Amino acid sequence: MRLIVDCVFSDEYPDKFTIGDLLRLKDVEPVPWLVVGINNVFYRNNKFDETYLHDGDKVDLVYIRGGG
Amino acid sequence: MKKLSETQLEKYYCSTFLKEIGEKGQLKLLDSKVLVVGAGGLASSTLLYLATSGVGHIGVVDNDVVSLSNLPRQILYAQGDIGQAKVDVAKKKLEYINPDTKVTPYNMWLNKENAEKIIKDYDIVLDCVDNFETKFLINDVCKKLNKPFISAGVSDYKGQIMTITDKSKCDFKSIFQTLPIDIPQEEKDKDQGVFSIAVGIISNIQCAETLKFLLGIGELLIDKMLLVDSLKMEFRTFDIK
Repeated sequence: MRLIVDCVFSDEYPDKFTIGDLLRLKDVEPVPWLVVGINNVFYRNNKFDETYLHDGDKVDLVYIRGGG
Repeated sequence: MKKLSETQLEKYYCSTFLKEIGEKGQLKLLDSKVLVVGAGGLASSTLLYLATSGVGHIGVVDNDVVSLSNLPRQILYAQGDIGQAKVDVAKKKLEYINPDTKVTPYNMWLNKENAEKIIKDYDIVLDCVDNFETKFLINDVCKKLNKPFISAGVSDYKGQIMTITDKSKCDFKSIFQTLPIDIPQEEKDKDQGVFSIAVGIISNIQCAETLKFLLGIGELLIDKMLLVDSLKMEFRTFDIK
């Protein structure tokens, strides 16, 4: 399975791979002010370990932005 | 029935020509009260367009003064304004640009003690602040007072914006659940850099959302977040579920 992570094609990933698995692999902490967009739908961090990724999914890591 | 004056008919000719707005819509804008929290980069451009669009009353909350490093992205201010309170400069310039607009300056930071008192008088609130605490405060107070608000944030080349009204299933806090804490200094430092045009793009979208809300036209970013990446020139709208 290949994913587009933050708009870059990433390496092969195993099947039954969750958002939580991806974050752990990328060493990204699942902080409460992070949401993950998959194909233009946001998932909050209580869904990270129950949401499976699929071949070709576009994954965006979106943090709160404070600048103004 | 209230009507636009001859001067106003000429001034707002282009917008009143739009069938969704018309004279009735322009009168609505002239009768509207918008609170802008923050008078920095996002607010600068938003304030200018709110005023030129003929929003009748604008409140601006900020306790900062104009400084040299503000000028590239805070386009409401000029070098001669350095050292002056941003809200006072904003009032002077906006009322000069459009005498139909009255500006109430609040030369203070929005905080738990004053937020309800200030926000209750306005039709809509714009989050143009640069800190997370105030974003969460605006969310909480607007929710309590049932006031719509439009939240925007920008750093480096990217920005995000969402509109929260009584029709929203999600508010700011239900997406970003808590205030960011213990952010490493290197991450904070990354937030300092900003592409001035990214600020302008996001703030103009924020203003468009505001005017559409006041006019009751078009579609709003309700239960959606728009992400803009001005480096890749990508605009993507995410549904929030």
